[in-house]
Amino acid sequence: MSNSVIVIGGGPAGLQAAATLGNFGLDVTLVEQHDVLGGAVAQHQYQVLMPDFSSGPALVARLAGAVQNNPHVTVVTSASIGAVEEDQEGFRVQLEGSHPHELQAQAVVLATGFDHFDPRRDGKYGYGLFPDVITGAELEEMFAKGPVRRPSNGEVPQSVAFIYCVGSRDRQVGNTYCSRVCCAVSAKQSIEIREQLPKARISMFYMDVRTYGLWEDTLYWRSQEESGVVYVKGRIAEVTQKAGQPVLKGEDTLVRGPFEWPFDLVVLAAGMEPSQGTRLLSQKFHVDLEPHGFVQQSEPMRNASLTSRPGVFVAGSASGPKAIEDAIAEGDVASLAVMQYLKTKVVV
Amino acid sequence: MAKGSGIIERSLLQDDQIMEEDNLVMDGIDISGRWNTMLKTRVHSERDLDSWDDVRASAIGESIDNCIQCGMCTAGCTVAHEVPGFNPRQFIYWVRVGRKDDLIKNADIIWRCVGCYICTNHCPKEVNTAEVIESIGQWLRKQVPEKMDQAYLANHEAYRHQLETYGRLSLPRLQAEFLSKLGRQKELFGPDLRQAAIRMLKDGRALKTLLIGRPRHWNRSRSVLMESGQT
Repeated sequence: MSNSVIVIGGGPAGLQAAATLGNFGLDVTLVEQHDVLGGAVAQHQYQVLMPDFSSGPALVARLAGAVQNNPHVTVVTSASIGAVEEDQEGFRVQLEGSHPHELQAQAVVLATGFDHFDPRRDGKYGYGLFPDVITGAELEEMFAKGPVRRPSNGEVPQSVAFIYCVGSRDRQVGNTYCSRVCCAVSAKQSIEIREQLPKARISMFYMDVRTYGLWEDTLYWRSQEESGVVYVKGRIAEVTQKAGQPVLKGEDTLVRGPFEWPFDLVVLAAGMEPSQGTRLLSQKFHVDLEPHGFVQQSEPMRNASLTSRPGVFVAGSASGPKAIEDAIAEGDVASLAVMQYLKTKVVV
Repeated sequence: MAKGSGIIERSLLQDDQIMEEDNLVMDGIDISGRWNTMLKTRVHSERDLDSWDDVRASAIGESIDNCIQCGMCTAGCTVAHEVPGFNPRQFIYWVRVGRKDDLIKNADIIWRCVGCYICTNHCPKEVNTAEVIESIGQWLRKQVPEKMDQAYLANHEAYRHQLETYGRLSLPRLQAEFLSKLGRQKELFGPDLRQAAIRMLKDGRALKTLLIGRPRHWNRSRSVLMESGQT
């Protein structure tokens, strides 16, 4: 069992970590709770990815192919983690599912990802109540299935609103952090909607636009300059419904005036939270969490994947909101840390 | 009875919030005065985005979509620091979010722009702010000409007419047309202007200016200009 690693989570970070470790000849078991690989990209059938508009299905195919075709990687899907013990040999992990068995490994990578914030927990948006109020993830599923239509009546929306910071930056819902990618993802989605609907009025309701780094002009500016999307500064206090249309109530902070504007379709840019798996496995592996509930990076200035516990590493959005490209990069960062850790162990 | 006098805490309200008809009969019932008192809502509920479409479609207004409301234009604006209510950023925003009522309320103020182009030169998003403001102003001039200040309209028309007729702007002629449009011809013969006129007649400048004539092929240039100015 020398040089064996368990990677938990089959999203972009976990797939990348498993493939890289396998390529270096380590004995890897990748454990995924669902029956498909690809994480949120596969779950919500992301077709076009932020920030570069590359193909989601192609990404999943490449990442999943890299582990499935790797002789050093064993992929176990539809499985969950039971009891975990650690002794001098390493970790003993009970695998639950259709074929329960015990795994042994010297190192573990937690790539357990995030869950989208469920807007039902913040009643003011009317999500779950009004059919034309959907989440950004549901909009992605709509893109995958066909043209964008109003869920209530199947008609083409003439006006679309995006509400930013749903479940993020809000003490009332308990999430005081920024989810980092929703601004840019919403801008990307508005550009996609414009391609389908040349005449639709598209409005973004924001507190700040945080398309940080290189996404400022490639996504935020582009959505305005090329797609004619208008940004309205102010958070939405309430969504009601009038004559079959969601009505957004808010304050336009740039003119200091209240408004109540109807829209055909409302998209909630729901933020990211530590996933159920992240919460559960952090307990099983006794790793510390940071104050927002994500896995604490113990020494981010040394290596982003180090946790409070030697031999347990973290990659991707398990340690905080992250873009897909950053999650993939962290898969490699964790692989490097695992290899260094195992080398030290063997030598000593 | 003063408007809104039936409201117990009247002092908490502003005059323009109160709607009240002195004489109103509805279905044979007299509801004059305090019986029809209503308060205007502050809530904006109808977005009118025609102005946006028109400004974006105009040759000088198309860069409006670049605006991210950073406020650099108003920060550097020559006029905003002197004239209350003149705010280029705000005009652009009203257009983009469809606040036609605010635009119309300020239809005349937009023409306080002096055309210094500091806004355009400062804009980090390459909005040609000075010309976007001009485009919004032109849109308003067509929507609500009655809201334009008479002096502004007279000036505007005198410029157009002079340019169209002579192909050049001659200050004396411009001044004469502008003042006569306002019925202020008398000012043309005030002591200052009279003295200047006499001096210019004596040294020959007046004659030279008046006889300078039109630019070459002005008729052709004019037809192009007027065609493009129709928008």
